[in-house]
Amino acid sequence: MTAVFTVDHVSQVFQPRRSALAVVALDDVSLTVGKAERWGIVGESGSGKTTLLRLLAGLERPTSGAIAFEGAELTPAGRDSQRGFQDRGLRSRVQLVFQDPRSSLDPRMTVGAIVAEPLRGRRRRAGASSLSRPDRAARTAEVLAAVGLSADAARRYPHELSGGQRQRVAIARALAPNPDILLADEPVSALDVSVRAQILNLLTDLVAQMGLTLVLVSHDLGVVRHLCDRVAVLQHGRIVETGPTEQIYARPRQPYTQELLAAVPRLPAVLPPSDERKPPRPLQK
Amino acid sequence: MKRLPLLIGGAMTAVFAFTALLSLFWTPHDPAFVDAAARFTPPSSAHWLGADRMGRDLLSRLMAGAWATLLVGGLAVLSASLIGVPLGVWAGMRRGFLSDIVLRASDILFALPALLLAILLVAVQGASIATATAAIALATLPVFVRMSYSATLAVIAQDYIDAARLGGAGSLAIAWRHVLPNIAPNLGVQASASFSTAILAEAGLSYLGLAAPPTTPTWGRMMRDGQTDLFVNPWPAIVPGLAITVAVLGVNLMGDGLRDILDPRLRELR
Amino acid sequence: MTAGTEMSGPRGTLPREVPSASQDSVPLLEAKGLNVWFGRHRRQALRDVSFRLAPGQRLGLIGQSGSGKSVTALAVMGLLPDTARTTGSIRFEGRELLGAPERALAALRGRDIAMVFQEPMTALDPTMRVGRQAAEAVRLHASATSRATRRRVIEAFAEVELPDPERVADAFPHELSGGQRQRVLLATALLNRPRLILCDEPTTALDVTVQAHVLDLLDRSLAASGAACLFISHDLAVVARVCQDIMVVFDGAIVETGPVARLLANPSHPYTRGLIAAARLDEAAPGSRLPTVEDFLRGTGS
Repeated sequence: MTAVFTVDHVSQVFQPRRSALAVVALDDVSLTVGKAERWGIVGESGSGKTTLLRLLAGLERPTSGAIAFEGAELTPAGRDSQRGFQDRGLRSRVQLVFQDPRSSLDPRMTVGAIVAEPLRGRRRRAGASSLSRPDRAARTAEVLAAVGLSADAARRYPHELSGGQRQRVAIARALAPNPDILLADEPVSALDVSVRAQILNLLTDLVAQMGLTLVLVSHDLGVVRHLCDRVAVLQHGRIVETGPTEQIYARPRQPYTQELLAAVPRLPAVLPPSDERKPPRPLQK
Repeated sequence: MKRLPLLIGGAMTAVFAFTALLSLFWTPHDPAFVDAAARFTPPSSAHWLGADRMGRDLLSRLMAGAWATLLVGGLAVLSASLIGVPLGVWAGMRRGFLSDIVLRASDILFALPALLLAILLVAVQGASIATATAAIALATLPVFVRMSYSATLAVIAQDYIDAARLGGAGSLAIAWRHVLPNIAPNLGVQASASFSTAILAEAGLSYLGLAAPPTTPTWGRMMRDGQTDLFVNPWPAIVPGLAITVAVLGVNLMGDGLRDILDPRLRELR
Repeated sequence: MTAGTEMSGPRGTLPREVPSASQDSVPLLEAKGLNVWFGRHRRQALRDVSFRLAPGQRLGLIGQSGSGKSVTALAVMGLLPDTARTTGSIRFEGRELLGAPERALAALRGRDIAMVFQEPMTALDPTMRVGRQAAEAVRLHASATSRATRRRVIEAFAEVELPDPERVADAFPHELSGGQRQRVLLATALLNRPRLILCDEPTTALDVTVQAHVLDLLDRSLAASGAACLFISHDLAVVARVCQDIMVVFDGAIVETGPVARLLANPSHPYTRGLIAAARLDEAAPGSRLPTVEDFLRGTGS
């Protein structure tokens, strides 16, 4: 079985302009993502998990090390970081769902235009799937239905939708070019807990139906456990622990993983003795 | 209530623009016609706003001057934005050595006073409407470069720009589809602010005789012609002065109104 | 009975009188028949909301975005925008807040009632050192020398376990992490020893690990100061960590209220049942279909 992504000793160092301080976002990370695997990358903000995802999406090029996509180098040196995908017509195969749909949806575009954008492709570039206008409209309606939005949502603007609906639009856009690898950056952390379940159900169904390879970044091990079969724990840009989700969830080896697990807020499972708590206060209706 | 400044400003600007256009086809009198009998007439039925020291009809000259003002101000702002906005957007999206040079160059241009630029150009090219327009455009250019540069920086930090990249959009498509529509409100507000500055600059330049030739009626030249007799016969100086005030006020009000309506931060508060 | 009982360590002792039992009969905060409408279309944001908060009590206000949680907090603070129309009554220690003159409300805010916001970055002025911002909260309500004020600010920063409080006080907001900023805000809120702290999603913008620490800290600080707390969140699990009582808001109305334990064991409203199910993510089998709030509202949830 060929690996989808082979991340080989990758480091990513950011050198802010006019600053001597370099930020090491990723430090010698190696990871292999196989076909149809569902990986969860967990860690706190600043652990480098989003950077790793952006590298896999081809949005950035690593400072050192190499990332291969199906055996060929993703972002060859000396090229625009987009070209690696673009030239081989692979762009549509890897898609990303962003964390915050308020920022990932252009406020001046209708939902229909947003979802159709990846279908427009680049003119003159070989391999890019550029569909005709009616074909785009048909595909847009199809993916909107797949994420549980009605067809007339296409005419709405993002600000007219709720947070959950906006994230559905973002998922629809990612699915529009029919990718086989889906990257997701904290897809539910900007959403209400009550909406979270809907989006997780949607992602679960879509990944299963389309046989997607999934790389999901989250700080919430509960979300990762639900969607992913493998976990990599990142701390300060290094992978500190990897393994099957159930194993890491049940028997975390690293103290950092244990801390992450303990931090997820949970409802008290058993009722505390009521006399330790204050008596209920009579409320006027 | 919210739209009141926009309505008033828009109406004032519309009257100004309409008068300017009308002057091309019709004015009560020939603005250049010298009628010795009408010298210093106060406003009357024959000359609604009176006549100047040479007996030329003030209303006719005012209308013709409006056209000169609209032409110079409009062309200056239009050409400044047509050159400045693409440069600013490019610099914001590119962010490298080349774009730094462009930004520095625009800063240097910004530091030069508009008047100095105009005198320089006039020395080389001679005074004309085209020279005045070029001078004002040059002075306005850096404002548009800066404004579109910083607005672009804010837009390209948004995730939807990365999302468009992932959708296969190239830089041109991103600039056209995402950046320009999202900085358009800032552009509109900036254009109206620059336009009112341009009106003032045109009046200043023509007052100094650095713009249109003496035969062309302009508001600035009308003020200069009128100032000699200001205490004896104030009309010829007051009329163009009021016109400048009204035009600048109208355009400024319109710009404020535009910002109130277009600024999404203010919109959310409603 | 309130202060000190849950103290976990020697730190965090803000001296303040313990509310006596007799005060318990007078509610600290009482809302009665509160209605709020917004904007030209008179959209109703709150419908007949009534609740009481005793001194030292911690009440969680839970609901999804747009349900009216934040509107309730803003109404209490007198911070609703001009476009809002309000009827009903909000009393703080018996004094009516609705329609009270702005000056009276300003005196109350920050001194008797403090607020901790969701987004610590926007709640702090980016151009001012955080120590000065905190000091401003003191000086607005009491005359004190700047040296004494600074000492109080640094003590307060130490009490919320900010490392090296002297250095933090001289830092600008962008030089601090999200968790540190939220601690600064909490310390500032506690500075004037308020009797009520309103927390509007105070940990939503934070990482889980930082969230856990901040919630812990909030729990201890409230216990130490004896302040009452109205805690607003969309996450039942977070609320349950801090509050004894919970009030569920749905579509602008309070649909259920009671102690956490009873609510979790025996929720009566389908919306509450949905929220509880949604919060129990880790009990679902991986990859299985999660129960959603809609299931319960439609009556198809288990």
